[in-house]
Amino acid sequence: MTVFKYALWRGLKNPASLIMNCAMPLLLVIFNFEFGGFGAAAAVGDEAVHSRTPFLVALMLMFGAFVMARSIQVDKMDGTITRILAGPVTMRGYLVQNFMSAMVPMTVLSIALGIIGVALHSWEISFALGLAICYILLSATSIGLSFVWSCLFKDKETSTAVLSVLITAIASLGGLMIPLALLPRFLRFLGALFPAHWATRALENLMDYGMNTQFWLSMLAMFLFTVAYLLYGGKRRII
Amino acid sequence: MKDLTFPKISFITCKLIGFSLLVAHWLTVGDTMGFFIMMSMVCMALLRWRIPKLSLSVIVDVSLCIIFFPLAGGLALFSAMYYRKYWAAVALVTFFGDVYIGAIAALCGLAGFFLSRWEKERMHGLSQLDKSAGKYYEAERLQNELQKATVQIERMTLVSERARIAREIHDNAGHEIVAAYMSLQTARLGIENADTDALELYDAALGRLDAGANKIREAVHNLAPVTSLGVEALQETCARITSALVSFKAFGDTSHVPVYIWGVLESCLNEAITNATRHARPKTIMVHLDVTQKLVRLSIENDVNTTKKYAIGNGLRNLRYRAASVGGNLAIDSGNNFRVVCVIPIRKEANI
Repeated sequence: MTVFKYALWRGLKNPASLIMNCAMPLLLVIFNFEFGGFGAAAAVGDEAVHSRTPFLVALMLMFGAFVMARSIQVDKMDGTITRILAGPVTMRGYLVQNFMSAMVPMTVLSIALGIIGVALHSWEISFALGLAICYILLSATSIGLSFVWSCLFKDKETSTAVLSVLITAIASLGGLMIPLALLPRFLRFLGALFPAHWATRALENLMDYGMNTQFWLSMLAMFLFTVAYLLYGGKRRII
Repeated sequence: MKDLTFPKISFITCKLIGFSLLVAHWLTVGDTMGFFIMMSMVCMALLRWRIPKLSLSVIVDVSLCIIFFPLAGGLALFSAMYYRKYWAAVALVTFFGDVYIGAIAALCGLAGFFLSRWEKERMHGLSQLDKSAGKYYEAERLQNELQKATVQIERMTLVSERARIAREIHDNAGHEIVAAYMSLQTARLGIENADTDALELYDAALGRLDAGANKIREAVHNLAPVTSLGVEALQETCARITSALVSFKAFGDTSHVPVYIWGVLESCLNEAITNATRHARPKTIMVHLDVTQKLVRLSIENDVNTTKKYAIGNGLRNLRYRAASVGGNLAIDSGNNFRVVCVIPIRKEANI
């Protein structure tokens, strides 16, 4: 578990990670800020305009997951991974421990958000549970995507720059920044090729109807994304 | 990955095209079920890519397509045929409801089948190449071992011969000389004491010394080789030729040329001179021997005074094999003059 401990410590002492993964989501939920109000309801016809807080938290979790999982890229760049793999550590072990080191804080945070919501804002248990599940799966998918990104790029700077643009695009098309109802049909479908869209759909369903079939279908989509990303991102080419 | 025509790369390209078409279809129609089937197929494809042993998982793809999403059936059949799961062709029956989808699926399956055959042929060719390379390396290894063994035998022969010479001198000449030495010592005492027997002893010692010298001469005579070796043997071969003027020149240090190479060189010279005198009626034959640290080169060149056409006979062909067996090469040049050049490397690694 040495790799796990080291990766966890490195991820948590990063200021960007602390802000994204801990401070901002907690503040948002504690004070229950309302960032919603993208125009009047008339502007989007009959579609309901939801509170933007859960979506913003999801966006931050997504960014936070990318920041946490970036350690693989750093290891690859400075040659640490070569030294680690020279020891009695398998590639699978290294990847699993890195994945866990990014997942554990995100899971703890997601559960903490649910508990705070129930305690401070009297959320229903099912709502808090659904929110936590959705955030956990979104974090897992984002970490998986970060792994894929580490495979595709060799240069850290290029990788970070392109990834920032990609995350913004995914979040925009996925409805985390702009409500899905405001997006044209084609862009909505295009966004569905990325996990953020399904997270948005899950959150909307959760807020409107609770954990219904559509919510679980969105969870299934995110799970499939996670599996696909981890299968591709877990190959040895990462070195 | 340099060869873009690899069946595997073609397979991946076809799959990507298939998925792109499905995505395009999904973008226009927006069928939720289609999306999930597509994602499941992507996950299964990635799983098979990471763990090739799980090729049987194409059954999941085919089943999903048959039950929920026939449009992606072509892609599933393509994968199944590529992984040689030919039973999946049965799935075509389920597409009878829609002729177009069935036809597309059949075509995709056929493409997968041909790619699979291509992959099989390629793997067969690669395995054949591997086998050939293995045989080549085995032959080379055997040749090296043979050469090492030859050098060891040569060394052992030298050691045993040296031991035989020592024994010969000790057993025959040695005894006589020691006896003569002792007689001379006794004779010296007799001379000092004016003994009358001293002269007899002196004569006896002289006789023993003479016998000893004869034994040594005999031993040396017996030990001397009947035939000459090395460069002398080549010189003698050249000197025996009377029908043409033969000039022999040797360059370099011939002392470190192994015995097994001299054998090949002698055969080469004999064959070349015999051929020349028999077919070319030369006036002059020039023999050059060049020895460097790495190789030996023997060149036999003669002028040609006949109109007979040159053709490689059994003798030269055999010589070529013999040269090749010690890692060398035999070249023949039939220009204005006829020239045979034999080049043999001196293998240092064989000197254990």
